[in-house]
Amino acid sequence: MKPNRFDDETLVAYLDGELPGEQANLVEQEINTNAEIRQRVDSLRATWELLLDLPSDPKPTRDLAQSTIELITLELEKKNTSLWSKLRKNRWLMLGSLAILLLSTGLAAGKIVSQLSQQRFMRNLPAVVELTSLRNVYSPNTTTIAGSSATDAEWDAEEDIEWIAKLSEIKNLGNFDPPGKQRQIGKSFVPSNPSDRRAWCDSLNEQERALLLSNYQDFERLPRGHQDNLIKLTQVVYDKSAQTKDTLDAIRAYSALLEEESSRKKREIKTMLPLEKRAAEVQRMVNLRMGQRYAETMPNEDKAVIEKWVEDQMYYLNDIVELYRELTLDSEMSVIKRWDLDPLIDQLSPQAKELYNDIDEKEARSTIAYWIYFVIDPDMIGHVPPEKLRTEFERLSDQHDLLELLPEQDALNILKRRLLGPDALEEAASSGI
Amino acid sequence: MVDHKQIGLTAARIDPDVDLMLRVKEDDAVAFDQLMRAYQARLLRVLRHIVGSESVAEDLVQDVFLRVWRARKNYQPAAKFSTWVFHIAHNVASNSLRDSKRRKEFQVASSEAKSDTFSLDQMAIASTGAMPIRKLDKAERAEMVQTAVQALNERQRMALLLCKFEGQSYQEIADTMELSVQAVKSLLSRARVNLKTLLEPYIQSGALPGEGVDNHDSNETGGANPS
Repeated sequence: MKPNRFDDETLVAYLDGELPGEQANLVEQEINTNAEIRQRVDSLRATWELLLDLPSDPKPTRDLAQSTIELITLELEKKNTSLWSKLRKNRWLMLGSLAILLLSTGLAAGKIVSQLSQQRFMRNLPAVVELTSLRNVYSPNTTTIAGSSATDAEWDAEEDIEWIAKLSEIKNLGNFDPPGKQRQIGKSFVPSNPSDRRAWCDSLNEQERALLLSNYQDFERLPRGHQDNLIKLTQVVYDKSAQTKDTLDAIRAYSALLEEESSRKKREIKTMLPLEKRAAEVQRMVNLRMGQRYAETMPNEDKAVIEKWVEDQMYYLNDIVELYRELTLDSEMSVIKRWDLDPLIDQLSPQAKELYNDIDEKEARSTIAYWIYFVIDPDMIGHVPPEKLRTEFERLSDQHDLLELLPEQDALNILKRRLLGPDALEEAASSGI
Repeated sequence: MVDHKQIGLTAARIDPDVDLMLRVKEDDAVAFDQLMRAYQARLLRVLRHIVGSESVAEDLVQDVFLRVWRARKNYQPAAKFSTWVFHIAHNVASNSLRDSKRRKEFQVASSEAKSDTFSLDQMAIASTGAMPIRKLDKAERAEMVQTAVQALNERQRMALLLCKFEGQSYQEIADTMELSVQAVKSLLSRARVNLKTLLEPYIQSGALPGEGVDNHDSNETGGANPS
């Protein structure tokens, strides 16, 4: 047996490619001729290859870069207490203001802190812009929030992500333009490339910038865990690329829809499970509002059909107020049955028909009442034929003197109230008529 | 004779990360962010094997970045940026291990890394051929290798990880760990031989180690950690 010419160090260095050429050649020759050396080298090599089994692609549980930037920002802030002391109580307001200021003026001042806060601002811009809408999508376990640190709130990311996908499937939601002001910032969505985001911010008008700043302050006040979750949700939306705009429209519309509801109802919808049930409820709400909004844009052909139908109903009813009341009752309780409405629906345009058919029956009846409001001359509501007023006046012979002393309109109102009941005039008044 | 200083300077000149670090030196936060994002997973990969705990490793990565930021004004590009940043990581990890050893809060082979299935004792016994073997699945194999790596001392482990995961040359490892090249050669050799001792049964048979080792004496781990 040959003496062992090579120690482990040499063989390991050979395997690592760290031996000078001449020495490496010697080892190679030895490997080719000496089975014992070959076996030692093979064994060391096999050990090395086993290290490939170690998990090699770790994913940090948090964004270490971002949290480091925050630590540095805090550190720098402490150093600059004299500069910041006046605004110490509202640190993020200051950082946010500074970021906006830098964005809008392009000032190169502020150096590190401004760079860091601006960079953070730019990175989180989509989440900040969509904060109002996303907050209504985001549904951590609120009972946990109430009891302890909000960062510990349980959050089912998959559920919210699935809900975002479902929102995009709700018919007419993306096209739905609910009344009231939408807190939308920018006409387009935030560019995915961070370097284009500055230009996007520059394109905002004064009001949008104010909204953006307000959102930024709100965002920074959120617990860190909530911020991260909202960022994740935004990422999901922005990753959809081709569908991003539609998805954002749906999320914004959904949010606007919820904002019109009471807090209790809003919470009920946000936490409604399963998601199919929640989607059905939102679809119902959208259908109802779409039906109501149709009244404002209704074509003349449909108006004519409604006017004719109302006129026909007046053969059986005293006045339009009565018609309105009947339509607010269930079909079973009302003198206006489904078969009374069918001829009306049949003659309406396909668009009106489709909207009507999408709405639940009870709500469909009140939608018809709503359409009538828009179509029929508002003065007709509370209208009482003059001959009826005269008969009533005659009947109140003992009060003639008093009625004649009153201003004419007041006297007429008294007579109408006696004929229609006390609610009729109030309803007419509250509906702006 | 090879001029290592000159090699380091040449490496620095062609390293794009050095350019980024020079921008960081001028307080460029965007460049700093880019560097952090480029290195956070690499640092985490090495540090978690050093400290044996995912969460401690994350804290250490953050500590490394903070030190890079604080030291930026004194940065001189004498080598590749990775050499410098892993030098900081090595110091941070060594300090952490020393402190935790003092506090006895966790062991080098921490409870997080320690497996219920594979202990160093089992592996040491298996390496003697005194126990039955069975086939391992991939997760078990990974666990077994991890346990074996944890059994190395900290310096062997660091040298091994820099060599394997970071692809550093002996000279770069020497610069990172402030050792001579000969010392690195020796460390890596001992690390590899120790690993081979522990993992040899698997290398030879594709299976290791068996169950039912409760009756074995478990005080024979020293052989895996000779230095």
